[in-house]
Amino acid sequence: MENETTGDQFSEEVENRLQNLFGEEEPSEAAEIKSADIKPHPLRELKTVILAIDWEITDEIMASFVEQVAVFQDTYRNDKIVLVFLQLLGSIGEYIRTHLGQSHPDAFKILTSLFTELERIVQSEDLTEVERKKILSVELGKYKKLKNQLMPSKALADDRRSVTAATSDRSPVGGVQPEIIKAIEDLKLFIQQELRILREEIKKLREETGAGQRS
Amino acid sequence: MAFVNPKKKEVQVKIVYYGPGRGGKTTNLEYVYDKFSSRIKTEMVTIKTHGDRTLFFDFLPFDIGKVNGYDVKIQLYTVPGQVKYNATRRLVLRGVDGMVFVADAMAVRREKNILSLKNLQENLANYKRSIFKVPMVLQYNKVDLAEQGIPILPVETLEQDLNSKLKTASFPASALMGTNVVATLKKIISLTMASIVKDLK
Repeated sequence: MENETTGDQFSEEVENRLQNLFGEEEPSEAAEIKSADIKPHPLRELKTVILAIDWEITDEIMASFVEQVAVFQDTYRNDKIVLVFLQLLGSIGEYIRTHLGQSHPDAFKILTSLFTELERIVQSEDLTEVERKKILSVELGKYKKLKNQLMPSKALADDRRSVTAATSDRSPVGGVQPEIIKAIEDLKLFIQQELRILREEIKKLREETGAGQRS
Repeated sequence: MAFVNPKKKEVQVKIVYYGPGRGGKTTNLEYVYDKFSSRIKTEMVTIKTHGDRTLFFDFLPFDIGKVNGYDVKIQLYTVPGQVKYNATRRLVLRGVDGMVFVADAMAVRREKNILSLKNLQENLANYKRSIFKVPMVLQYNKVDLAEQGIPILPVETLEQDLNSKLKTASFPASALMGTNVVATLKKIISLTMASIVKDLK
């Protein structure tokens, strides 16, 4: 690039090009950061931990997460929908705490998604009860999908039983380490327990809503 | 060094967004792409992992038009921020003309920012480039989180940690909201273009 113009002219020319390209759509004043009308975030501590999990997973962070979920479960004990959200978060958090870096990649996505929607529910005062339930239902669907991915298929379980019966004196069996089988069984049991609790919560919620609509 | 084609009267400028993982490098490019796609008329290329993390790099090319009779083509790259992808980061840095270092303003990420800047210095040194000689802009991203009570490092602390020796332009920003994303980009393009012209003298 030859130096055909002076430095100032050149800078001006670059500025003009950039102004043409990015000029009018720069963020408006409204998008600027204003500290005057800051409202405290209702889930601030939990959000801090979620953002930390997004970065790295340590025992300390996960312990803090479980602690924060428990605190908010107490704070929102009278809001059934928020409570179910917190239980789902607690359940996934427990799974991540157990499996750390080996957790299913979708577990992190669902954790984030659950928290984003929980934030929306807690912060939006204009959401109706129906809308809140709809949001919960979508998130519950994602949770169940993950659960199904984590559960070993019935066929696999059957195969494993037959192989175990035939070669019970050998270990590892068919390349599957007993510790892995044990871990899967534990996880299965854990998820079943969590789902049972959630089902009870949803049932209660439905009963209450049904009673509310009838009255 | 920028690729200059005197015959075609064309200059290609490579700008790399560097910084710790989850700092907002991709979000910067996505904001530019979403806001100005009708003007830049190019596609953003991105390769992600399962968890929506940048696996290889993001790439956003666009033309800014003629400067001094030359067609200026800008190529924006991001690098994967995760520590384990250093080989990729080093590869993307090859032939870089300008850098945006996207620091994460969250208090818990303070050390990661410093480590990432040090990693940048080492990776540039691998190409016999000095971090003090490559045009650079610092961006302190996620300052909007302060609104939600998330602990954020004061700009003075970030300046002290990252800019005390570089002494370059810096912007507090929110890539998600678009605050200072364009200002950062304009500044690095200006600095880089000035540096290219100076080198060609």
